[in-house]
Amino acid sequence: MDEPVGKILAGVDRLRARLLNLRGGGVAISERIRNDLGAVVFHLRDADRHKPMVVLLGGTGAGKSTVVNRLIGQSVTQASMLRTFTAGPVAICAQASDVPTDWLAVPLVVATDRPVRGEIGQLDCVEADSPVTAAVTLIDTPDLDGDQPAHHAQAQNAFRWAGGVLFIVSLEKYQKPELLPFYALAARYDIPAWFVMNKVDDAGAIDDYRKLLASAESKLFAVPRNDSVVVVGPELSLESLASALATAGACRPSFAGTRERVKDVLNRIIDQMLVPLKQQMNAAEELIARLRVFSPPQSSIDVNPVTRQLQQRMKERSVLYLAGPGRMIDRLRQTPQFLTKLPRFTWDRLRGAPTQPAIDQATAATPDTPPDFAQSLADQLVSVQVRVADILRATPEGKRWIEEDEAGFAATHFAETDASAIAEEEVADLKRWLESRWNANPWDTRLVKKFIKFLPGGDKLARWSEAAPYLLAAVVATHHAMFGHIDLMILGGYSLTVWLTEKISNEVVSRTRQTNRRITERFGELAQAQINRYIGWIESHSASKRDIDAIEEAVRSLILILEHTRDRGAL
Amino acid sequence: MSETSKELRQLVRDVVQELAVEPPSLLDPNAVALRTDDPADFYFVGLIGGKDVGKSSMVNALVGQSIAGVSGFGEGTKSITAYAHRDVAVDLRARLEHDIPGQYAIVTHDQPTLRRQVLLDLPDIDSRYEAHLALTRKMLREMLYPLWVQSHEKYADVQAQAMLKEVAEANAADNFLFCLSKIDQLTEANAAELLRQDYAKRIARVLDLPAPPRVWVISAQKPDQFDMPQLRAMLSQQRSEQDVSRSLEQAARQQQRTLLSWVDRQDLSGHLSRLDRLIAAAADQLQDRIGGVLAEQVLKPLAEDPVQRAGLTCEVFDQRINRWPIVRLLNLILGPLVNLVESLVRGRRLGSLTASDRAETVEPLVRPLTPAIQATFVHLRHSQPEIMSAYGENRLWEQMNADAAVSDLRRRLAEAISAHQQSAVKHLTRTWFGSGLLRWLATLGAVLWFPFVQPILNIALVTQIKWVPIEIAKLVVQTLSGQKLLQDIAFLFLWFLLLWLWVRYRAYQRVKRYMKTDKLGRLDLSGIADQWCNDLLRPLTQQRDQLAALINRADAFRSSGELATVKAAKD
Repeated sequence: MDEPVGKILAGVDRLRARLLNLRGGGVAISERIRNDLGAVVFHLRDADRHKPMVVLLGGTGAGKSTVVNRLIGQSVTQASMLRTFTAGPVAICAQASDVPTDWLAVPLVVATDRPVRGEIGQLDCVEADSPVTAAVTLIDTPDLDGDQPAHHAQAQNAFRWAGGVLFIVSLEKYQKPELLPFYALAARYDIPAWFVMNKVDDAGAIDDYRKLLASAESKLFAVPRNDSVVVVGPELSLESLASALATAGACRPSFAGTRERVKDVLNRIIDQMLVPLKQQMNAAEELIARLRVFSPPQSSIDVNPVTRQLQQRMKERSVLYLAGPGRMIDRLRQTPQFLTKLPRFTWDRLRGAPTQPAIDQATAATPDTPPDFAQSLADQLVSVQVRVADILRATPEGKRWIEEDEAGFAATHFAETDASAIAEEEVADLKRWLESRWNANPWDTRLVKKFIKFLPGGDKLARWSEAAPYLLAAVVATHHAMFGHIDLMILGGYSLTVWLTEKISNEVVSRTRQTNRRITERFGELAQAQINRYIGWIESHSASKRDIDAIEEAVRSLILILEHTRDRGAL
Repeated sequence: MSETSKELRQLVRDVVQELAVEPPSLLDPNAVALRTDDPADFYFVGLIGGKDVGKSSMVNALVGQSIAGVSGFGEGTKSITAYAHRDVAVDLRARLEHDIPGQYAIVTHDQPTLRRQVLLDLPDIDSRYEAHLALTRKMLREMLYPLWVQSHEKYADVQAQAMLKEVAEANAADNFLFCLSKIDQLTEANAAELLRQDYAKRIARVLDLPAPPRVWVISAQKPDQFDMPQLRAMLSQQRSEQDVSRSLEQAARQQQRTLLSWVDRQDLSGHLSRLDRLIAAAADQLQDRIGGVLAEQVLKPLAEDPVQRAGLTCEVFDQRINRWPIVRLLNLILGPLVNLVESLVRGRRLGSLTASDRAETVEPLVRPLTPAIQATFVHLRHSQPEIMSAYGENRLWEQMNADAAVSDLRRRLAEAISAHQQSAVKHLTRTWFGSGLLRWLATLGAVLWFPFVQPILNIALVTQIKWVPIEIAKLVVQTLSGQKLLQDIAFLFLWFLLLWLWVRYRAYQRVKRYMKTDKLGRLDLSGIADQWCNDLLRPLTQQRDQLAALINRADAFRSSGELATVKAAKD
């Protein structure tokens, strides 16, 4: 195809393809826009190869069908005194092939019975020979102002595809506002237009209508009402309209008009589609940015209660503990309690009654069952979800998306079990380790035992090592009496070393810390994955920036081409 | 406005507030709503219709003289012509001057049968002149009997139907008259009947009437034919006052019905059942997540708390010991000593508890409830986001509010325990008649008896008294000897120590027995906890109660005599 129409058509094709790719919001409106673009392609490429498609527009009862029948000279479309009677577009042509395929983007149905009434969603076609149909194809449309909204939509759609318009008003209706924008559009698009005032019974009304149409180059015709005595001049009569139409085969919109038409469609794309889509996209981007800076809460889980018992047991088995000052201090701490319990204990033993537990209930703080870590993690996950939902609901777009796609939004949530599984796995892991360690010696004890094996009488030494602190105390006491207080430094140094070694060597504590850390890390990953899923969900609900930019680029470049095109060029 | 109407309007406003929905269009200040609280002694009959449907001609035909300007084309009627009796002209002028200053003309007559009827010729409702529509809408608010006029060409127009629907929300369909004009222009056989039916069918569809209304088929050109003579006869006789007030009442009821059907459309009972399910779910969750923790970790330890018991014992002991003279002094010395020992043994003091002490003992027990509440409400919000509105500022899923709820529980529990203990102390420190005497005897009596009375009596009774002054002197010397006094003091100390121990023992025993038998009835902590749980759901139950009250009010209207009888009459 040649310049420059070919260029425009290529641009429109590119635009249509990009509209097809559009995902997320705006799918519904893109359907309508594609239909409009179909009309544009028809006007640019195919219109000249067919007879002009002249569309009749008018209110209900203005007499569209009646005028058509009188122009053709035979009853082709059904006229009725009942209102909103014509229900769909009807094409009146010399032969069915005059109607371009896919015109109005609805199927073409060739009518066998006449007269026809039209039907929504199809284009009825009546073949009728007459001087008018030899030159143009007439399209009768449903009303523009009746109580059936579907009729208005069809009439408007027919106007978008029209190569010529025949406006029909009646005396009663010529002052109604519905047709006014179409007059202006027809002039703007340079569509050949004819105006018929029907049911005239006062010649003054024709002049009034002419005044109303002042801007239009008035191809005005008038039809008196049946019972009226008004006589209209021959230049206004229906016959002269018929002959005007019969010679209208070459009447085409100028290229400038068609250019305006294309521009209007493009502006509609910008106003009705790109602007809302961009607003949506901006809202989505803002939401995504907010989600990205949203820091999920750290899991505050401490598995310490699970390991506390083993820790105690390990401590009591540790040779370092036995040999260190800790045990002595613990014993000292327990002495008064032991002393006060002694009489009662003895009395109970003498009576043979069951003895009271040695530790006071009020001070026994260790709970029997550790807290439910799995539940707690699940709660925290739900808390993250609720907070994200709050962020989404705080914006009108987010709220609308959630309302529109409740199921989809629910599907983006991770199940609570995903979070509780983390805690369950890690705690089970920890418990397995605890069981394997329950009867084991701490590593310091193992080391000491190994070392002692090589010494003569090592077993005994191991047993005696427990007495080390007491012995040391005794040694220090005597030493103090003999040599002064250098002993205090020795005692302190010894205690400090043993105490520090004991703390550092505590493998249970380090294992506990490790589990805590792993739970925190895994939960953090899960929360991040959850947020990423929300981001994905938001992205699926707004057109991507790439798509919008592609469409906008296509629209802008088309407008640019149109601005610089002055004539059609050769086809 | 009647009481019913006012109440109904209040109900509608309450529903709007409760459900946060848009108010019905009838309450919109710009709505074309008939004023039913009309104090004037005349009523309006007005012709409403499209451009050039023949309203003015019809007015002239009805009146029998040309009072309204008739035009065949152009802008046509743009102000209001009122045809009224001379007597009401002054009032009418005042009224119209107020509503539509300067846009009216009044034509007076002297027919006594039309004294209270004012016939209005109005501008059109469908032309491009927007001022016409605005004027007509203003007058429609006053017009009890609108006469809808459409020509056979315009009867299917959408604007007129939309306006009819709007007016019918506030006026009874029985007050409307429907006219199909210009019927003389149709020549087809049976045209009048066919169109009458088609128009009536469309009106019935718009107004949702059970049967098509009567349509008057008229022609202003041929006033003697069709329904014009009948219509004229009807309109040339003013309606009786009862008739008008009944019409007004019907209009008022129509407004009530409109409002009531709006209330029906809000699906209050659906909201209520959803709320009920929500409350049940919330109560279940609360029971699941908090009930267990509350019973096991709060109520059970509180019920058998040794600290509370010790505190009770202490308080009982303190009060009882203070009744003993001298032993009281001993207690001043021994009390701190005992406390010191106890604090060494148990790590904390078990003295009598003040209210704030008690709150502190409850504090660690209720602390795990905060995350539990948070988790529960986070889950509830996750599954039912609509609870957000009910909780408003009291967002229990956030830590601060959950903390506040928990400290509320802590305060209630502490207060209950405190009150219970006070009554227990009161019960446990009762004394019996004569116990005071016994206490004096055991203390002051002992002080007198052992050092003084007993030795004197001993000497007096055992040894024979020969010379009294000498004996007394001997006695004094003996009694006041240092050794004797030391002995006495030591003995008395032991004696009072024994008494102190005995009182202490008795206090323990009494508290122990009291705890077993519990004469005052058990402390109902679980009742307090239940009450607190219910209070957590209070916002929801409050909302449910409000909704239920609204439903009751709506039901009362629905079954109230007035509306019911109208409905019956209509059927």
